[in-house]
This record gives sequence, structure tokens and C-alpha cells, in this order.
Amino acid sequence: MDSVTVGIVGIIGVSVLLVSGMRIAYATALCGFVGLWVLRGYEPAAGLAGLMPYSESSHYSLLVLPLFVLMGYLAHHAGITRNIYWTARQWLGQLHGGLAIATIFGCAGFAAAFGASTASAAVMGRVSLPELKRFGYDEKIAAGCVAAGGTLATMIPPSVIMVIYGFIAEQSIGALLLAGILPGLLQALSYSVMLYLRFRANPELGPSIPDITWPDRFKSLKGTWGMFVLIGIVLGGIYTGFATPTEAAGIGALGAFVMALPRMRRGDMKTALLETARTTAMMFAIIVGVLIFVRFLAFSGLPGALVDTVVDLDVNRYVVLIGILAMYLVLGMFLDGIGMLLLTIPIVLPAVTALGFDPIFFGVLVVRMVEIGLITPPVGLNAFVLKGVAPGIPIGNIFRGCGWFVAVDLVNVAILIAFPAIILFIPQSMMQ
Amino acid sequence: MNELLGLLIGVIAVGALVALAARPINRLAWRIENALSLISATLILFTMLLVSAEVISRKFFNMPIPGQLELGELLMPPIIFLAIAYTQSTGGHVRMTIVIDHMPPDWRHITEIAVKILSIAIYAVLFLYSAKYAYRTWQFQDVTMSPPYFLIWPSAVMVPVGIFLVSLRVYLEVLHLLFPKLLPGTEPGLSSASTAE
Repeated sequence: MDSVTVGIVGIIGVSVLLVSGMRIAYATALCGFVGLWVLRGYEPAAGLAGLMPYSESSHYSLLVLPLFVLMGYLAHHAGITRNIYWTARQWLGQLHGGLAIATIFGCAGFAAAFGASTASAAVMGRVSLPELKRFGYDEKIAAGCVAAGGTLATMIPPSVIMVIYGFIAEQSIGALLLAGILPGLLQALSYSVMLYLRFRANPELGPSIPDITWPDRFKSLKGTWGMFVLIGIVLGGIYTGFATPTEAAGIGALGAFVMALPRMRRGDMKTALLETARTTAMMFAIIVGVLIFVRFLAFSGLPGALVDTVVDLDVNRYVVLIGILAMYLVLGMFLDGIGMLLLTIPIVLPAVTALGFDPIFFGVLVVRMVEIGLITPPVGLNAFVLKGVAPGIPIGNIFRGCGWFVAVDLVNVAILIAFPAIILFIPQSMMQ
Repeated sequence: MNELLGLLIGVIAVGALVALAARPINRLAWRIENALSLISATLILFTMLLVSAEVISRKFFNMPIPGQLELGELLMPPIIFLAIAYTQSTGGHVRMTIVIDHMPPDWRHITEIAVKILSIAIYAVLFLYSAKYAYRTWQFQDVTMSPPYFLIWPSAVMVPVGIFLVSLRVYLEVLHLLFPKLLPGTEPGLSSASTAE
């Protein structure tokens, strides 16, 4: 059996174990170790397996992950979620479908402090669903708004997925985080336009909110300063080069900590810290496991073989790009985002860059596909998280509510491919 | 290869001993997991303070904190591996249940046990060789690259500690699935043993 075949057998092995319900971290570590053993012998495989849990978890550039997660949980406890939602409601409520649009912008604002989509959907679901229900909004649209709005946390910095892409693709994490700003805003705007048009065509879906006065609106702004401080620290720090992403995350978390301290009840701090520890352990277990597998794949020569095949294809490079993105669309329906990126990027990225695409441009597109995977059946995590927050809504209705948002997402991807400047403008202006 | 055989015997011996006192060991493991996750949580807070103190001290007072970068790196393995068993027992590790959710209950039961045993197999390997790596860092008194030269072993030793605890947790889940009377689901730390998340 040649090494490429061993690589393919390894991929099949991981797939079987994942489908059997083995946790991603352990399934990939197991297949990676066995694959290394077959290709390189027992001693080297065992040596690598013993070293990698330590060496792959002690990267300074990955220190940014727990700090971003901590900042998000603390920001939530500081009341930022509720305040942003309230401000968006006061300013956008009188539009057609105002409360739904406010939910999207509430999610976008909170995404500027939060880096994980599922947690964002859970948190925003608790805040906005009761309000949407009170005003009699259509259940499907309400659920779709929160599930899809939650995915904004993956695009708008800080973003855990973006950091992991940058780590595995060896790209500047700061540049990637900044590259997500405009696509994230475009996404929020597109969702809002879609909602506005749908509610205007069919006002029975939900009312606009009457009687909001201008003093009310300005008064609501008072609650948003915390968000702007965090955006200033994190994005301002990275953009100006004042701080590295890790440093910006550290100061951002400290800022959120100071804001949260006076408002926290007993036990809140413990909850926030334990949630951070749990999320961190979960992420890094996957990172370590998948990287053992990726090391095996590299030895198998599979990525190189794939590059040769793809480059020799006699088709337009955009056809290849769209084919790869379609593959992510399908994978994203079944796999979680972190595992999917770590597993596939080392194989796919060399081929993509060989075709002349910018790795940052490609990264944002892939992250966009990860977002879509969060709201598509059968394993759309955001939909399931929302189901946990609002057990009364059938899961089928949540997915149906997401349908329109997925359509908007696909249009967005097409726009991004047609106008790469939306992605690359801010990171390029930073580098000059 | 002889090592692997030794490892297998070791795992079976430890497994038999744990099965003899499953309930008290499960409770003890749950307590340890909780205590270690709190240490991990405290270390995250400390890391936040360390990173921000360094930036402030360097940018505003032109005094970098020596070894901040290395200390940050050394703190990561304890943060992760001290919380890894707690994450397992509270159902925090990601997996895909779409296929097994649709299996007949007996099949699902067998599949769950089989993948958990495979998980223990890979943990055993990772435990042995990460422990060997940690031992070498202690034996040679390895230090970080630049002053103030922190010792590496206190950080490296957290990896096998965490992996041992998470494999113990998965083994207790297997015991619960195989012998629900010996270790019923009402015992602490087993809530995620067979349910989807």
C-alpha cells in the first residue's frame, strides 16, 4: 500500500469513528497515531504522540483563544448583551419587522465582544426571544434571526474560528480578524434588507414597535459605551499595531472584567471562569487531536497529491474555488467548525494558493461556509443551542426559519468572490 | 512494542482495581475534576492579568515583564489539561450523534461502549508517552529559552495528569454503561455518559 492510499484509509477511518459518535478529539488522535505508526514505525509515532499534547497546546499565538472566550463571558455578565439589544430595539424598532432587524444588529454588536457563535446564539436567544414572542413575531422568523444572527460572532472579530484558521494556515491572525469586519457588516445589512422586504410584503409576520421617542433613543445609547470600549481596545489595538491579538485580547478581557465586577452576583464570576475553562479544554482537545492526524496526513503525501491533481485540472480557477466551497457547505452540515478547518485546511490551502488565491481571502470565505454549517440541518449547532434556550419551538421550525438566511448567505458569498476588496481592504490598509 | 504490551497489562490491572471500588472512586474522581477545573479557571484569570500587566508596563512605563511570553506559554497546558476531565464529565467535548441517534437502542449501546474503549486505548498511549516526555523535562531540568529560565516540567506534567483523569472518567462511563447496578447514572459526573449533546 503506498503512502497516499494509507492517507485515504486514515480519512475513511476517522469518518467511520466520527459517525459512530466518537468525540472528534479522540477519533482524530487515534487514527493519526495508528497512521503514523504504519508510515513511520512505532517509536517515532509514539514519540510524536507524547510530545504533541504539550507542544501544540503551548503556542503563545493560541493564548488569544481563552482570553477572547473569557472576554465574551465577562461582557455578557457586564450586561452588554441586554444593553446592545435594547439600543438596537429603540433605534430600529419602528421599521417593518423592526424587532427582528434589531435582533440582527444586537447580535452584530455583541459579536464585537464575543468570539463563539453557539455561545452568542444562546446568550442572544435568552435576551431577544421573549421580546419577539411578546410582540407576536412569527416563531420561525424569530428563531431564524437569533440562530443566523449568532453566526455573526464567527465573522465579526474577535473570532475563535478566525484565530484557528490563521494558526493552521500560518497567516497573520491580526490581519484575518480585521478582514472579517466588512464581510460581517455586509452580512448583518443583507439579513436586515431581507427581513425588511419580507415584513413589508407580509405585515402579519410581526408588527413594528410604535411610540419610540427620540429622547428614548438617545437615552438607550448610554448602555453601549462598554461595547465601544471593547471594540476600541481589541480592533483599535490590532489595527494600529499597538498590541498583538493576544495582548489586545488580554486587555479586552481585563476591560470586560472591570465592567462586569460591580454587576456580578456571587457565583457569576465562578460560572464565567468555569465556562471559559470548559470551552478552552474542548477547543484544545480538538486542536491537539486533529494536529496529530494532520501530521500523519502530511507524511502520507496526500495534500501534495491533491495539489497536483487540482492544478492539473483544465478548468477555470473560480470553478475549482466554488467546488471547494461547495465541499465545505456539505462538510459543514455534519462537522463542527474547528475540527473541519483543522482537518481540511492543511490539505486544501496549498491547492488554493497554487491557483493564485489570497489565503486571507480564502480564509474569510471558508469561515463564511462554517457559519452556514451552523444553521443548516442536520447538525446545525446554533439551531440546537437555540432549541436548548427555547424548548417550545420545534427544531424543524428553527431550521425552516434559517432557510431565508442561508439563501442570503449564499448571495453574500457570491458578492465576496466577485469583490475580494470587501475582505482585503482593511487588512491591506493596516499593512501599509 | 514490548512497551505497548506492558501498557495493555497496566490498563487492564488499573481497570480491574477501579471496578472493585467503582462508586467511591467515581466520587473521588468527580471531586478532583471539580477542584482542578477551578485551578484551571484561576489560571485563566491570572493569564489575563499577566498579559495585560505586561502590555501596560511595557507601553507606558517602558518596562517589559521578563519571561511574560514564556510564562504565558507554560500556563496553557495546565489551563487545558486540568479542565479536560471536567469537560468530559459535563459533556463539553464535541461529537456527532446524528447516526447513533437513529440506531436501535442495543446497537447504540454497543457502539457507545466500543468507541469509549477505543478512546481509552488512545489515551493510554498519549498518557504513557506524554508522561515520558514530562519525565525527560524533569530529568534534564529543561528550562524556557530566555531569562528568567522557568522550569518546564511543572507545566509538562499536567498533560499526563489530565489525560489520566479523562481516561478514568471515560472508563467510569463504560462501567456505568456495562453494569448500571454497579455504577448507576445517579452518581455524580455521569450525566453525559450516554446522552447526546
